[in-house]
Amino acid sequence: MNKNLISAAQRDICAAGLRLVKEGLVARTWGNISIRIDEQTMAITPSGVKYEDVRPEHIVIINLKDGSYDGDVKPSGERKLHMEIYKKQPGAGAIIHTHQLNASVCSAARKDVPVVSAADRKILSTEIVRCGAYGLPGTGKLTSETVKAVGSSRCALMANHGAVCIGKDIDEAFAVSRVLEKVCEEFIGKCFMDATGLKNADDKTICGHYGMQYGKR
Amino acid sequence: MQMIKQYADITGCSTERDRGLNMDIKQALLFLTENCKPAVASGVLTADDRVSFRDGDNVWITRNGADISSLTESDLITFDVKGKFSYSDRIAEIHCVLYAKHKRLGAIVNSRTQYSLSVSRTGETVRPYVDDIAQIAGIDIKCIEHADTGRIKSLIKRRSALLLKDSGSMCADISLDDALATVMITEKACRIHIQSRYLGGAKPINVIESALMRFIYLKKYSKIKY
Repeated sequence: MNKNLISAAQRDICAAGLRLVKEGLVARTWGNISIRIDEQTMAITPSGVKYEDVRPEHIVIINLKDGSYDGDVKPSGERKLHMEIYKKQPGAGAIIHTHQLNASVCSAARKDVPVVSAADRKILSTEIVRCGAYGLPGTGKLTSETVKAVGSSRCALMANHGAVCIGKDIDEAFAVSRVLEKVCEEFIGKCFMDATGLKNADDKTICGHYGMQYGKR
Repeated sequence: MQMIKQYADITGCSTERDRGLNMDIKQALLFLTENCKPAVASGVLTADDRVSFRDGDNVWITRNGADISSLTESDLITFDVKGKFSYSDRIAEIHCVLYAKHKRLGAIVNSRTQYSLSVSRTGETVRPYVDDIAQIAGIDIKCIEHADTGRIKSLIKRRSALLLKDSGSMCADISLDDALATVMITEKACRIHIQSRYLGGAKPINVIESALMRFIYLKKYSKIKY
């Protein structure tokens, strides 16, 4: 293994963790980030450490073939999901698992989300963002269902959990997460307007309609 | 949450629950200002939310009507958890009762963020729609009347969040950092509760798995002995 590549990946993941929190895609210890180092190895965030506290030496280097790793730091519980995606998608260079708001709404409703704009389809590499079936965090079921939902695209929703976003590098993975959030927001807005006949779907309008509909029964 | 100014930075003690030092009003004001101002700026709290924290046997709480994004010394009240509560302030009284009953609590926040306030007006119970809700808030977020002190005390025993009828959320945890994280998650839970209705409804995580997630989370981070 090239030590310079490992160090660079560890530094990049630390920076990406802070970016993840800053962009509101996760908070505290939730979510995880990985970067492919070469065909045999990936680097991934540790389990249960706040992104503000993560240092390069906490980033765990994992053997993609068998999942083994050196050292005492425990890697993210979702490492098998990352490993499987790297195996299925040779072009994937970085993966982030987020708990972003609009994607979480769609994942809780277990809905596949259509991608309307051609530009967004190109970035997400799909016409429909699939929602993988429910599995407990860290389980083989969650991994297999999410990998199936991702297919050859750049993202998927994870039922009752969040989203996974893939890029050739970390910047592209962030771009995918931003577009996914926008696509989910548009979908929620469309569903709201279709259901209510109202012409906009900002937070105030949605809360107002909910209050009128469910407030005095 | 990077915005959190740690208690240790101000007092030299490790957490708000550290019994080694009682703050004076200047330290309490500094601690609250350093935490509340950025929380309001980032939308985690609204300016008229109420925030309290335990400092030894004392509790510091922001006054009703205080703008927590620009606190002054006159915006703070302090009371002794073991003493007789003498203020005409229902929220502060609830905080006092909770601190006295649950020794693990280090901070309590009452928040009127948009989605939490909306659900509190309907009185509906919010289910754990995603795993971080189950872990951080608990197996559900129930809506309770202000007057029902007994139920509030009982629910906070195994949960970190509830809704107060018509008044938004109340989040109680071991530190202000954790309480603010619970406010964020409660707002997210209420957002999912409302918005998912228009997508055909959310399917919550079942009670047993929610309880398991909560238990593992609390054990993993050594938050309480369950």
